[in-house]
Amino acid sequence: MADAQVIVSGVKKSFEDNLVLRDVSLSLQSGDVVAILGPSGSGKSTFLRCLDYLERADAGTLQLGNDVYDLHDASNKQILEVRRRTGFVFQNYNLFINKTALKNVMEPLVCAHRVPKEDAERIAKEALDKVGLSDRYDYYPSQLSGGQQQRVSIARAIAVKPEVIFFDEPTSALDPELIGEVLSVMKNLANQGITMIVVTHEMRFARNVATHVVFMEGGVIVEEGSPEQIFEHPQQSRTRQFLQQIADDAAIG
Amino acid sequence: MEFHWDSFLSALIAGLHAIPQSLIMVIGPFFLCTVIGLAIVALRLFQVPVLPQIIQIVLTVQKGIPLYLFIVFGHVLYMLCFNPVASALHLSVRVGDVNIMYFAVFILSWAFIPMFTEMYWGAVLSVPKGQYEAGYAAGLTRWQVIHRLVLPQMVPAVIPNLTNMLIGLLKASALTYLVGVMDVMNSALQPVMQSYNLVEAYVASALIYWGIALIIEWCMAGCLHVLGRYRA
Repeated sequence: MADAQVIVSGVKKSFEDNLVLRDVSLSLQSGDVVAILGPSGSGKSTFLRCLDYLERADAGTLQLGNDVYDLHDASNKQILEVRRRTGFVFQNYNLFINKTALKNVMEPLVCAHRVPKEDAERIAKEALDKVGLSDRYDYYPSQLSGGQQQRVSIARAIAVKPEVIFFDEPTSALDPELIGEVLSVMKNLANQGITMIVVTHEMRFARNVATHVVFMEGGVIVEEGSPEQIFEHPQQSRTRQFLQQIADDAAIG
Repeated sequence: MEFHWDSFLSALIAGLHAIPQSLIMVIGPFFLCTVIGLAIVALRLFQVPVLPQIIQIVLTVQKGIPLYLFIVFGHVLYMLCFNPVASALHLSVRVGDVNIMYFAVFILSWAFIPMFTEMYWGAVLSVPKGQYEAGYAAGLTRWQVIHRLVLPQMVPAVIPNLTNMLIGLLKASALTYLVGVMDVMNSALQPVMQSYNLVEAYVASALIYWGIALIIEWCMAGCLHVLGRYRA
C-alpha cells in the first residue's frame, strides 16, 4: 500500500438488527477512480456515507494521507476536518436551493475554508466553467435541469480541491438523456487525476473510466480488481450473476 | 333600521386614532412569540433532553384554553399578584402605575406561543434533510447550516402561516377591551355609548380591521415574492 492516499479499514454498520456493512476495507492511490457496483441494499451508499460521517459507523477507520480518523468515535473537529478534505456528490444533487449556482459553489469556500469572497468567486467561476456552466452563474437550482444541477454539485465538490470526492449514484436521479453530460464531466475529472470513489449503476462508466472496480453484496466486498478483471474475468459466481443480469436488462432495454 | 352615518363617522375616526395601540398588540406579541418559539424549536432541533417534552406538555395544555379565558384569568392573576411580587422584590411600582398595554402584549404573547412554535417547527420540517447533509458534507458547521441554509429556507414556508397569525393577533387584540385597553374596537365604541348606535361602531371597527388585514396580506405577499424568488 505504498503511497496510498486513502485507506479505509474495517467499516461496520448496523441499523438496529440489520447488519448493513460487515468489515469493509478499501485502499486507493492518488488519482484512482474506484467504482463500487452491486445490487440495491448491498451497502454501497451506506459505506460511502460512513466515510463522510453522514452515517456513524459502528467501527472502522479512514486514513487520508498520514491522518487516521475513527469512523465511529470522532470528535466534531475531526469530522469537520474530514469533510473539509473531501467532497461529496449526492444522488439528488442537494444543491442549496436558496442560493444561485455561483453562490452554491462559493459557500464551502467562504464558510468552511475561509477563502476571501473575491477569491472564492473567481475559483467558483472556474469550477463552473470546468463543468460547462459558464452561462448559469446566477441561476437558482429551480431554474436548472437535473443534469445542470448535478454539474453544479460536482463544481461545488471540486472547487475546494478535495483529496478525494465521493459520488453517491450521481446519475441515478437523472433522465437518460441527461446522464451523458454528467458522466462526461466525471470522465474529465478522472483524466485530470482527481481521486474518486463512485457508487454507480453505470457499467460503461465503470468499465471505461474506473481504475478499480469493487463489487459489493450483503455488506461485504465480494470481488474487486481492475475493470478488465471484473468485467471480462469475474472470479466469483455472484459477480458473474450480477453482471449477466445487467447485460440481460440492457439487452431487453 | 336606520344607519346613523354621523355615529359611524365618529366611531371610525375614534377607531382610526387607536390603530397604533392595536398594532402594538400585533407587533409586540409577534416579536416575543418569534423569539420564544424559535428557542423552543432550537431545543427540539438540537434534541436537548427532557426540556422539549416538558414544554410540549405545557403548550398542549395552553392550546386548549380559549383566548377569552386566557385574558380574563390572566388579568385576575395579574391584579392579585403584581403588588405582592413587587413588594417582595423591593420595587416601588404598583399595578396601577403600569400601562395595561404591557399586560395585553404579554397575555396575547403567552396565548399565541404554542401556535407560533408549531408554525416555526413546521417550517423547519419543510427544509429537506438533504440541505442539512449537503451543508455538513461541504464542511459547514451546524450553526452555519442553520443560519445560512435552514433559516432562509424557512422564511417562504413561514410567510403564509405567519400572515394568518398576524391577522389572528389583530382580531384577538379586540378582546383586550375586557381589561380596559383602548384598542380599535374599544375606541370606536366610546363615541356611541350614549346613543347606543353600536351597529355603526361595529361596522366602523370592522372596516378598520379589514383594512389593516389587507395591508398585512399585501406586505406579506411582497415579502414572499422577494424572499421566495429562488423557488420554482
